[in-house]
Amino acid sequence: MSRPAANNDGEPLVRIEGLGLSHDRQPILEDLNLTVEAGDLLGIVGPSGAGKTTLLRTITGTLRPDQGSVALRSGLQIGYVPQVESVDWNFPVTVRQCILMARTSRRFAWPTNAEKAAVSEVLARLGLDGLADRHIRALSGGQQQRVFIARALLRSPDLLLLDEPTSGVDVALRHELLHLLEELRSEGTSIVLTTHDLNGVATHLPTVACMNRTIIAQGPTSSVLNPQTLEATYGASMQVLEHAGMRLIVDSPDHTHAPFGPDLDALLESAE
Amino acid sequence: MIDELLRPFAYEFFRNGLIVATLAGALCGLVGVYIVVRGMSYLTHGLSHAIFGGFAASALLGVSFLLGAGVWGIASALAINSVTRRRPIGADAAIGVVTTASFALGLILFALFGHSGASFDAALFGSVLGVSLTSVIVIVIVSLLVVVIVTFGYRPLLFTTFDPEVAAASGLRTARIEALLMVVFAISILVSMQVLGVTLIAAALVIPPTIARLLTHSFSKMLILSSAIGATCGFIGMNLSYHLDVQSGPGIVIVAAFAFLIAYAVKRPTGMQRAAA
Repeated sequence: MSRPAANNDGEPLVRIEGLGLSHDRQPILEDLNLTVEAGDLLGIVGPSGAGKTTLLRTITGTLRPDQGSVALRSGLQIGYVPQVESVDWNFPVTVRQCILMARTSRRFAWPTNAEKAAVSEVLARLGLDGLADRHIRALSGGQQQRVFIARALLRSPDLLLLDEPTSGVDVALRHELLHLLEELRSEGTSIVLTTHDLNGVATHLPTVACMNRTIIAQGPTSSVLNPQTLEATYGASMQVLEHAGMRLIVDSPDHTHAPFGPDLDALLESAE
Repeated sequence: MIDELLRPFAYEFFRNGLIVATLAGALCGLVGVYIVVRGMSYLTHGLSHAIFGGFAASALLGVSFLLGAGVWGIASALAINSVTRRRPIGADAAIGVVTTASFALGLILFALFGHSGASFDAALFGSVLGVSLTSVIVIVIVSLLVVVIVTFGYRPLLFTTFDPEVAAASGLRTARIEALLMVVFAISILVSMQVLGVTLIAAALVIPPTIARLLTHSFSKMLILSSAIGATCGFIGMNLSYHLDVQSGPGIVIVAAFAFLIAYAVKRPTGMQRAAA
């Protein structure tokens, strides 16, 4: 594997070329190409086992690919937010301790005044005021998710990677989370997230990459999320419906699809 | 009454034993936190049994117990760490294979070349009779070393323990940190074995952190509380063992178990904690 760092400021944050990775001789990623530009809010979608988490791990450098290259812009700071399902909620750690552990440049338990200020700022930014000394279990689902985003943000990342942040959250939390990510993007943090939530991506994210071991399509959500790409990604027929300016993706029960799907209003009218 | 309680302090072997038991309690309480929060309590049982193999081998070869059992224990700890990280084998299975084989080898060596008796019993259940000034110095040095590691490596150790994947993604060398922790576990068990014994040291590593966990949700407070509880149990248990004329290991462990019962009665897990267990 090569991990050369690109030097020019105009270069993408991440450029992945010809990436391949296997486990027990089973290919997980094959000839994968992906580019993440500064200012991106990119959703990566694909079926279970498509290699989405593995792709994030190759970007963070915790997995070494067998082929290809992952080039990061020189000095790129990455913040990584894991799946909350992987967190041990009984672990004896408070919100403050959880967030501060990301500041590995200092090794002691006790924070500096600058760190205390940074923690207070990030907690306020994410609406977690007054929760610093709570145990992580004693938080609501949305607060728990935001604690791990806060931990990543404390590293002042240029790029925030989130693994399945919408998994297992209800509609209100999903809405809140995706709006938060839009705000962070507008403040200058580029964001890549993996998700199974096609409709959340269609509604909230400007760019998307469909993957199934390789990137099948990457680009603006409006052009990438079409029935052909979705079928190539998921191996199942899907419909893309339009309603009130929004796109909705639904399973297609009859395995037939129109080139761009019917208009939902027309569908509802015909049903009446 | 007071005179009776103070009487054992007149003996040097008891004073040395008391210092070692108190420090061993604190040391086991401190490193035990990392073991308990990782769900690796079985490791303590396994590693102490593995070190018993080294104890037997060092007796056979006529080398220092600390040298023989130390090398043996560290090798066993690193072997467990390596097997767990590189193969699709759970830590519990790796511990079961490596440490029981080592313990069995120790028993065979004792049976063939050693002699059961006082030293054998002391290895299994702990004894203050053999605690020398050297033992005191060794445990003081090891305790200071572990405190320095835990203090200066607090955040990397916590991050790697709580969330190894993100810790690695954040640039920490988690494999080295895991290996360092395993070596710390092995050395701590090694220097504590003399007073606690092979069969009972697991309790000194598990009970104080478990009591501390009942009392706090904060990791840093848990480290301090667990060390203090371990030291207190070591001090009281050693005195108890003298006055009851029993081995030091059982004396210390029974005090720790009693402390757990009190803590559990006072701080019962909440409904949420029970549901999560």
